[in-house]
Amino acid sequence: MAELQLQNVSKTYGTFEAVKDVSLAIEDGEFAVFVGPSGCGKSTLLRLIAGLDPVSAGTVAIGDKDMTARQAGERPVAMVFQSYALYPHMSVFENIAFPLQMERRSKADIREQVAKAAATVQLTTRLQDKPNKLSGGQRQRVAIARAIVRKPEIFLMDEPLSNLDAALRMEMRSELTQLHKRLGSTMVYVTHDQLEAMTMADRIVVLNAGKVEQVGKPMDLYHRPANLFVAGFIGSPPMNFLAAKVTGLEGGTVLLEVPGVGQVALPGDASGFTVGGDATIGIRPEAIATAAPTEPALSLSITPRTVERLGLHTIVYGEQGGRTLTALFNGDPVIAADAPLGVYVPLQQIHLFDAAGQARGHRD
Amino acid sequence: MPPAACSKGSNEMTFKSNRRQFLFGAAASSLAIAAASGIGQAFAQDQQLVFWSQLAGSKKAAGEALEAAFKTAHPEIALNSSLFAEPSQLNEKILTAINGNTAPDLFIQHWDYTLTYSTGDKLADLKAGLANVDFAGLDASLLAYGNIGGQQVSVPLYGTSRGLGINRKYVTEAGLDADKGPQDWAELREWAKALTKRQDNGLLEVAGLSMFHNDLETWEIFTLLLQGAGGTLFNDDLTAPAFGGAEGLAAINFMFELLHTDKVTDLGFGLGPGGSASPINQGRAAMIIAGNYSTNNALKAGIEFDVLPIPMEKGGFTSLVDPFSFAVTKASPNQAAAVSFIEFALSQEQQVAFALASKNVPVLKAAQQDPTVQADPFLAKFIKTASFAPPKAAAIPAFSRMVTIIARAVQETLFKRVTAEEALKAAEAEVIAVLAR
Amino acid sequence: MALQSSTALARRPQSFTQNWSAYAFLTPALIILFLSLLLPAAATVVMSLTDISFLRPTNFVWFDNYIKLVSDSRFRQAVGNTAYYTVGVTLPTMALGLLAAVALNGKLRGRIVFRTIFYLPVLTSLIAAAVVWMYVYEPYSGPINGTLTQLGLPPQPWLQSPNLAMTSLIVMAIWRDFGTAMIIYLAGLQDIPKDIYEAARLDGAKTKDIFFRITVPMLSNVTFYLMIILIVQTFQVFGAIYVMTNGGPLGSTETIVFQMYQTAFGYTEFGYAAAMSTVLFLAILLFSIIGTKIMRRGES
Repeated sequence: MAELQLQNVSKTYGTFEAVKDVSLAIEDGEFAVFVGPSGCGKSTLLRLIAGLDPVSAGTVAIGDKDMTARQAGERPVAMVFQSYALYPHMSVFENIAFPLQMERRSKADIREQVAKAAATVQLTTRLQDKPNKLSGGQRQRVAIARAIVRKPEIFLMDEPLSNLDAALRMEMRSELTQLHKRLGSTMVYVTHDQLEAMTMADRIVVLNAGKVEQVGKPMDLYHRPANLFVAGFIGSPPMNFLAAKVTGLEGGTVLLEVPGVGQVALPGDASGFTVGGDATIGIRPEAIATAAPTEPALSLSITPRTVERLGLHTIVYGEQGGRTLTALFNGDPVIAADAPLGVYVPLQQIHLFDAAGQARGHRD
Repeated sequence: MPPAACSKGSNEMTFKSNRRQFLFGAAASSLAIAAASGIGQAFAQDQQLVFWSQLAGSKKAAGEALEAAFKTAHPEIALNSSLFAEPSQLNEKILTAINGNTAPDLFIQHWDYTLTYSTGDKLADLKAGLANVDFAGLDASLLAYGNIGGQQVSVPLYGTSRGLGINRKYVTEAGLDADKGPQDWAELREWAKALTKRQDNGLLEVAGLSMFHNDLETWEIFTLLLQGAGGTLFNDDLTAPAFGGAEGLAAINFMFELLHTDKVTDLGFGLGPGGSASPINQGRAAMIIAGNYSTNNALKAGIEFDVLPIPMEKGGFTSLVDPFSFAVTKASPNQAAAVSFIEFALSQEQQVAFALASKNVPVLKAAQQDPTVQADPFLAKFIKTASFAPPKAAAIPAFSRMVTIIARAVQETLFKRVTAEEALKAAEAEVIAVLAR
Repeated sequence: MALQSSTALARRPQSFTQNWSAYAFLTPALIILFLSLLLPAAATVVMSLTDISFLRPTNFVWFDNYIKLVSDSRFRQAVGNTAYYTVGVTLPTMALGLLAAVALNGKLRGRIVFRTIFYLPVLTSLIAAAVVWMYVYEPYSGPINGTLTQLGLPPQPWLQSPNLAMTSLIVMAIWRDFGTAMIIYLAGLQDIPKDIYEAARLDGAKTKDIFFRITVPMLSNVTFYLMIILIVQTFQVFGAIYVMTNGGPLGSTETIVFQMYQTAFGYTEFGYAAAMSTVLFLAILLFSIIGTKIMRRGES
């Protein structure tokens, strides 16, 4: 049974469609991440779930109960805002206690619940401080504690880490993951950062222009992106795309002419193509190798222009057939800038997309 | 040196003005210099007269006519006059100017202010100054308000007088004789009762007698009733108050009975300050204490307005006059020119012209009896009521203070905060304290 | 240590130069301030120690004027009237200003029109407004009494009764001032992040909770600021009283500044009026200091 069920949910502001006909089910206890570029509708979708904005069409159900008509605050959800939205005039204790006071709980009960939540986020010693005395990370914890005390069925998090510096963000990422494990509750997390999505999510929902592009486990999205958008969005550095022409269709094989590369035959679902039509092939930077593999591979010559050495990896931005290809090599290989370099891409690892951008011939 | 004065005036203006006005001012002052030197060849304007005037509002036209006539009659005097809209405004200006020696040579102001200024020995004695004026020919009641310590510190141009303003329609409807009027307090009371109209629920529609709307009017009606009972505000030499005796008590008690026993008016409806329109003009009062100034607005409002003399307690009539007076500053270097102006204004011709234009009582007795003045029905009536005013006036420097004290005493009694005896006793004590300073 | 002091030395000439040019820019304003404000204020204090009348010779009477003030029942009445007016205007003005600001901060249809209408009285000339309100309070033909009579209720002597006049003046002042309070509160409301309201809604807060637990406390600095300017402003009320009641009836609308004016220009006791003015100045100063202190504490 799904914990959160969105059915044909749409949201329009005037003539602008922020969310278009989204249907989605999030399972109980799942850590779901909405990811997409800014303006894709992910935050709007979160607000619709929270009840901060009414839906224009469709239904929102939580734990099998229709919540569509319920106001924010009447739904069993708690939200952590990007800005934390702490009450600046209240102490940490009062901030955490606020939702409980709104439920008219007893003073003793409130004290106990706040203490418990504060311990969970390690803020026990700061309860009397005002938020402006706290660091960014501590404020973040207050916001989380304030969400915890409500004992919500679903936690909603709107880019909660984007105001933190890189080191703190990494720390909080693992803390949030652990917190999710400890609490075991459903979380819906919004981010524009695919890295956060990949590292934290049980399941990722990729949104673009108000629509769901693909839903799946992180590795499924990585290995089997459903379309050009997901392929380009998931993975860092992003996938290389090469335009191609279909020259022939033979059974389960698509024959392509790739300018600057030549004839390529890839296994794929022919139904999406017509001879003479357009196609795109996708090559992940990490699929490019300097040594010839044993399996069938595409052989290319690139001229490295920029070489970024990160220790663990080396990223090369090379020129090939009038375009730039990004390659990622393990370790710190000897690569000279501006000197031609022969590279190989196993055919198995090349993604094939039809003229409409849909994946045809998933590769592992 | 009129040309110099002209250009100085223009330059002062330009300091506060923008550049365009500066250019205009410069051009104007050049023209003025040229023009003035041209005129200067024809008439030797060798006398200056700075005149601050409060002849505004209903007497604005009359004041302008007087100044224009003076300029024609006395081309040798360069009259430089400034007009002030309110007596209080002129007062503020004079008080600050008199100390800095920037006071005018001549000013005309409500009489009580001149008494204040005289305390600093700032005003010239006009008894000696106005050599060509026959003081016996001036109205003694009006003149008394400028006489202090044997000096004539101010001389009236005109005055207003008080009568009983009535709505003839209401009076006739009530079966009363609007031509005869009440002859004593008992009749006045009967009139007030008969003229009061209330709805069944007691709501006042027409006040039989509207008593006062501010402190000054409170003082006026009290003084009129005090005089009506045979009393005076002060003893003969103005050294001690005299309003706290039996006559003062009779005056307050009469008002108290009219208000609380006869209910001829209500608080806020002919009793108490404020309100933007006189109740008689709105048909909401049958009788008021009226002055010359009351006539125009009442007639304009379509009221059948008339003026009767104010009866005394046991018969006979009384009144108050309220002069507007000239005063000349002692420090003035142009006293001769100032005296010329006053003498000109007190001439028969100018007195008649001013009275007709402003509807006020001229100070010159001969002008009061002028046939054209007497032909003006309301002017004639106020001249008649003025004749009932006592020849003595409460000309003390602390007059405005006394008005507040007495008004407060009367109002406190009428609002039943204290008894009449207590109020009058406290007021007398306060006036004594003020006189002692 | 050595390093620190050398940097301190290095900084000093620079900051002096910066300050020097700042002072140069401030000089014209300071001169105007000195001539138009500080000098007259100091002169007032000196005058308060004399019996100056501008007419008679002046003598130093030292603290006689102040001693007289203590036992002056009319001055005490004026102080009481001023306090009543100040409280009567300040609190409702702030409350109405806040309510209007909250109502017009949302997405209410026509809120721009309402904002303009509510702010309009602030822009009117005081004298013009006073004359209009005299008509409104007019006992015979004024709209208020007209309405009361239509409803079968007795008309009231709004400005004529010693019990009502001050309240009537207060109502007019509230009408005139609450637009200012509204605009300042609106600015304060804009500074409260939308997120905080949404967080409160999600925390289960109802409209009333949000108003009292979030909006009001978050505006406390604005409230203190407004309170101080309103107190200072109402302490000095004069114009409306001068036009509408002249201090009456029975001195019920006589405020400190009105009495000051009457004492100075009516009774030519400028020294005594200067003493009143000095007392008023000290009271305003005290309120300003207290207000500033409270505001600073709120900020920290």
